[in-house]
Amino acid sequence: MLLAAIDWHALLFLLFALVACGFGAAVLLTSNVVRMAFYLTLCLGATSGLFFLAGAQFVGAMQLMIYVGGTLVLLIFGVMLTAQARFISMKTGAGEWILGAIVGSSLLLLLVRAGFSVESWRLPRLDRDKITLAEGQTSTAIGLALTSVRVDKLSAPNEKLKPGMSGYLLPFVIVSMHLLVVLIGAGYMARTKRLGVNRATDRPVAQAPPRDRDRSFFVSAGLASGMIVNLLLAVGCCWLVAKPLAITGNAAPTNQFLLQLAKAIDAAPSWLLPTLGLLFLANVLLLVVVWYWQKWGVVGLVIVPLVMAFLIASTSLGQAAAVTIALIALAPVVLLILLLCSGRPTAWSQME
Amino acid sequence: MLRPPDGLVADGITAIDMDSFPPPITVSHYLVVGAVLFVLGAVCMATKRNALGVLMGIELVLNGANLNFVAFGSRFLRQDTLGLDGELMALFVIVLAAAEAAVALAIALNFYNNHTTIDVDHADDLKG
Repeated sequence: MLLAAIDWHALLFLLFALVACGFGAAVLLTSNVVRMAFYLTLCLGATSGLFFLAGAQFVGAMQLMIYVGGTLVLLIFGVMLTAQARFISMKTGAGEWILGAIVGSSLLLLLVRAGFSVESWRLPRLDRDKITLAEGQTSTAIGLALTSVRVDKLSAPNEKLKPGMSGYLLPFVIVSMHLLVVLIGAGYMARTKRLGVNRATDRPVAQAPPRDRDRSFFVSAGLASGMIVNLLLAVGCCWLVAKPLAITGNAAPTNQFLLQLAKAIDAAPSWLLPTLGLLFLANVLLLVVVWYWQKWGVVGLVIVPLVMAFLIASTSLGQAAAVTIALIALAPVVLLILLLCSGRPTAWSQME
Repeated sequence: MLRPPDGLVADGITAIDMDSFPPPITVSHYLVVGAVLFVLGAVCMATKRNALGVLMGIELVLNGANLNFVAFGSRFLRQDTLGLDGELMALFVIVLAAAEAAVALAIALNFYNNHTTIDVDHADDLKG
C-alpha cells in the first residue's frame, strides 16, 4: 500500500538531485585536486541520471560516454601529469572565500527566483498517466534531425521551412570541423618539447617566499574594536526594524535625543534601516578581510560610508544628516589607515 | 489540490493531484538543480588556484546549463516543450565541452612544462 503511494519518478529525481548538488559542493569545498576529480565524476554521473529521468535517454547515454568516459578521463590524466606534492592541495584565501560566497549566494537567489517565476514551469504535466515509454525514445529523431530531417516537426505551418530547413545539418558539419581542428591543435600544443623540459628543470621554483607578518597591538585592537562596534550597530539596526521606538508624549531633556531619532526613523523610507544594517555587516566582513592582510578591504571600508551617505542623502533626511553620518563613519577609517601606516615595519607594507 | 489554468478545464481536467509523495516533478525543480550546479561551478572557477580546478568549475557550469536545456525539452515535465531542440542543444554543448577540455588541458600542460607550476596566479607573463 505504502509502496503504491510513492511517486518513484519524483523520489529518484530527489536522490539524483541530492547526489549531484552534494558532490558538486564537495568539488568546490575540497582543496585536494585528486578528490575534486573523483567528486566531479560522481556529480556528472548523477546528472546523467537526471537526464534519463527527464526522458532524454540519448543525451543521458552521451553524458555517460563522452563526459564521464572521455572528458573526465582526460582531466584525470591532466591531474596525474601535474600532481606534484605542492600542487595537490592548494588553499584558497579567506578573503576570496568571503567574496565568492557573497557573489555566489546572490546569483543563486536570482536564478532560483527566476526558475519559479513562470507559472507553466511550476505545474507538472497533467495527463501523466497517458505518457508512454515510446515518447522517450528520441534517438532516431535526433539522428534524423542531424541529417536535416525533422520528423517531430512534419506538420510545421510554414511550407517553405518543411523540407529540411529547420534541421541541424550545418551545425553538425561545423562541429565536426571544429573537433578535427581542436584535436590537431591540442595534440600539437601538448607534445613534449625537449627544450622546454630542460629549461624547466634548470630554473628555480617560482614561488613567493613565505613572509613573517606581525601585527602591532594597536592595529589588532583597532580592528577588533571596529568589528565589535559595527556588529553592535548592525544588531541595533535590526532591533529598530523589529521594534520601532515608541514616541512618548513628555519631552524630557534626557529623552530629547531618542525622540529626535524616532522622528528621523519615522520619516525615512522602510528600506533604509535594513540596508544600513547590511552595510554595517559588510563593514565587519571588510575588517576581517583587512585582518587577513588584503589591501582591498581598506578600499571597501572607505567606500561603505560613502554609500551610506549617498543612501541617506537620497531620502527625506536631507544632505546635512548625510554629511554628518559620512564624517562620523569616515573618522574611524582614517584612524585605522593612520594606524596601519605607523609603526615599523608598517602593516600597510606587509599587506597584499 | 491546485486549480489548473483555464484552458485545461475545458479538457475535463478539474484538479491537479499534488497529494502523492513526493510531489510531482516540474520544470522548476530541474531549473533549481541546474542553478545550484551553475553557481557552484562559477564560484569554483573564481576561487580555485589550480588550473585544473578552474577547468572542473567550467564543466560544472556547462552541466548546469545542459540540465536546463534538457528540462525545457522534456515531454515528461510539461505539455508544450522545446521538443527535440533542447536535447540537440545539450548534445552540441557536450561535444563542445569535450573540445574545450582537450584544448584547455593542452594549454595547462604547456604552461606546466614551461613554468613548472600549475598555479593560475603565476600566469602573469603578459602583465603590463
